[in-house]
Amino acid sequence: MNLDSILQFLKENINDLTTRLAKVAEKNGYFAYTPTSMVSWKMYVKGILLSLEKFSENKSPAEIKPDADYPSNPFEEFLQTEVLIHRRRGLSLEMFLGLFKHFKIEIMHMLKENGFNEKEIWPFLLTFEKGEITIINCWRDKKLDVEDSKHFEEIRKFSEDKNKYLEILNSFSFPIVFFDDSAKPKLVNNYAEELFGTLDSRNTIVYSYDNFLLPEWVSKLAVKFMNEEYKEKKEKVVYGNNTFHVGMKKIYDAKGDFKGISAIFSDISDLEHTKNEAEKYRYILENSLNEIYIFNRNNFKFVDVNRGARLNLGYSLNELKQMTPVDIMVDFKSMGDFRKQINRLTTGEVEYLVLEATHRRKDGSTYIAEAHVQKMGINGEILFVAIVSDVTKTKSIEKELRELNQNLETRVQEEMHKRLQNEKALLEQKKFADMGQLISAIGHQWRQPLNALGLYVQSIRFWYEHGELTEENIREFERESMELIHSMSSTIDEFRNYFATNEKPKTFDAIDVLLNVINIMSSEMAARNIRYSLKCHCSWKKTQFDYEDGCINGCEKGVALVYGYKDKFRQCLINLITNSIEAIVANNVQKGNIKIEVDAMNPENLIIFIDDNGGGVPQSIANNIFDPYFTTKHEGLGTGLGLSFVKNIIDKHMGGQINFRNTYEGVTFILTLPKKKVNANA
Amino acid sequence: MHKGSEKNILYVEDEPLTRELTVKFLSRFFPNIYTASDGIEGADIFKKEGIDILVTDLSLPNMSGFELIEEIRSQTPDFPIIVTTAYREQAENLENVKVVYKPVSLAELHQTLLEISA
Repeated sequence: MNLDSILQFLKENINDLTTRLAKVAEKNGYFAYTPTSMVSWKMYVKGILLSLEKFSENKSPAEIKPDADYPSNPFEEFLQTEVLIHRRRGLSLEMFLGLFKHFKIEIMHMLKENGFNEKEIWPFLLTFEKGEITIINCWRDKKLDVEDSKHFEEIRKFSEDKNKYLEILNSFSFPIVFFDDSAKPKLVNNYAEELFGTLDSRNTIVYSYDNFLLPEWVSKLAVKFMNEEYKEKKEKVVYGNNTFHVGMKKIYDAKGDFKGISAIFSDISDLEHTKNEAEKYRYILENSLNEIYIFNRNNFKFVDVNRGARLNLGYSLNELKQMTPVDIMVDFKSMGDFRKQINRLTTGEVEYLVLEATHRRKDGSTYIAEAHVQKMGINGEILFVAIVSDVTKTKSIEKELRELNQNLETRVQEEMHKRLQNEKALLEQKKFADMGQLISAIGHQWRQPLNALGLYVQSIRFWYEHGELTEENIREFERESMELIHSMSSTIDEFRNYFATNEKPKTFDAIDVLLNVINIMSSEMAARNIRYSLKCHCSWKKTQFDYEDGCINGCEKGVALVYGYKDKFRQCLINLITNSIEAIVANNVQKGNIKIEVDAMNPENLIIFIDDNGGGVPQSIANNIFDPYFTTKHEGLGTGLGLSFVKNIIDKHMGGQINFRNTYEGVTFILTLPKKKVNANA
Repeated sequence: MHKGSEKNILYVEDEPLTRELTVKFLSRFFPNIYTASDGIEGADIFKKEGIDILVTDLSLPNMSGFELIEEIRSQTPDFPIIVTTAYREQAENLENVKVVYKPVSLAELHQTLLEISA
């Protein structure tokens, strides 16, 4: 075990130790001979500890003995130097030894207070006792006596003066160093010691006063200046991360002889940093392609205008400094106009202003600018800062887009117009197509009766020429011809209904239409001995009609409302019932029966069933019955439009569906029609 | 004027009134005239009787005039045929037939039959 743990502890608590030792010195009246600054004391303590550390390196506690003779003892060397210094300051051996003993006791107290035991402290005590012997031996050295006795008083006085100056120097809150005529540091104030002590991490033993812990560059600076012609010099020095401003001055005595150098240091690192940052931002702002204008709050004159703006405008900064925003913004007719806008910023009404203005360049050309103006406090001064973008391109793009949009609108309108025209044309075309279809359909239907009529007309002459024209022939001719003519006429009606477009859709009661159709067709059905019935299921009530009783009883109105073409729908029902009648007749069904049922219970749809016992639809044609012009009848008897017409009306004009299914005796057609909802309040 | 022929004529027409009136006229000049109301009946008669001339409508139930013509021509390619139809474009597709368009001129039909039976 050596002194390591104790030295480690003392080093860690060097501030506390320094304070304690300084207090002991002050209490015992040593301050007249020693420096009073804590920095100096700290340096001194640091010196003791460092020399002890070097001394105890590689030594066991047993090796540390007061009377042992070491080939090299850094602690002893340190003490010898201190002896030299203190002798010169005028201290007696007893005084110095007393101070040293005070230190020893104080340190021991401190160690004990902090839990170190006697055994641990023992080697440390031995070292200090050895130190005492060193001090005594050194002090009694005759050489020193002879050398110092001459100047003893002078030196002592000088030391006192030096201490006085040091007090004064230490009162300055910036580092000061005095160099002697050989540029060696002579006086260093607290700030300088602290600063350079902190800056310099060299692990050197520090001796009081004579060896200031100054970095090499400081000494070099002084040497360099000494050899220069200048009497004064200001220099900026970068050391590590720090930047110093050094003001140096040569000192001459009354005779004009060079006596030394004074140097005042200021650490301007923070300032430099700020400056660099400022430079950096300034560079960014200056070179930004955005135009940046700074102008005075009172007269609006430009204070600064960045390069981007100057380049675009073509003015120099000096020219601009004589100008105001009103001079470049075409839109502002007077300063008053501009002030009105800026006042909104001044009063705090708005945080920033966006001004869209036309800027006039020096050459008279203009560009469209969008300025964001803001009020800013810079170093206590209120200024306006405007960041401006040249939006000429944006504007022209905007304009193009606007034009494009307008063109588009026009084009859309044109297209709409065209489309309407096309639709109109299509409608016309459809009308013609419909008409063509109508003519062709009628033509198709008329071929046979026309041919027959022609034959009749020719026959009349033939019969007459052959003497065969009897009254009977004439009557037959008239009857048959008129029948053909009626047939042709009804063909026209039928097709006209099919192609008619003039009917307007409306809401109507399907039951009403059914009753009407049944009334119309009742005589025909009765004549063919066909029984018919209508059942309406609504609100669970049943109403039945037959050929004996065609009136309606107890049926609620409005449960079978549908929307569409009433006349066409009626024609559908006539067609379907006619088909049933014809099927019954064609199949010679003796007890013909047509049953119509209406299901009005479904809230969405009205469903109409038309059921007959006419034999049904043959499977072979089941897929074709709704095709236009498909007919099972001989030419001239059916147009083939019946069921296709019905499907077309139900699907397209009523928004419903038509289906059929074969039953045991016949067929049931099922019409599904969307109900027209009646307003509950109506 | 009052010329005729003893040849066997088959007349196929589905419309009864037209058939009746036409036959009433033609039978004065062509006593051996057979009638049918559709293609199948026509083909049937054609097979049973020794028909010399066919007069037919094109639009017929069950078996059309085209089918009837095709069947006869497949046996006898040069068989004399007169077509009565209202549809010119239909008749134009047929080769080697005489056509009398509807409304039929009885005089024209008479003349055509005379020519073909000569």
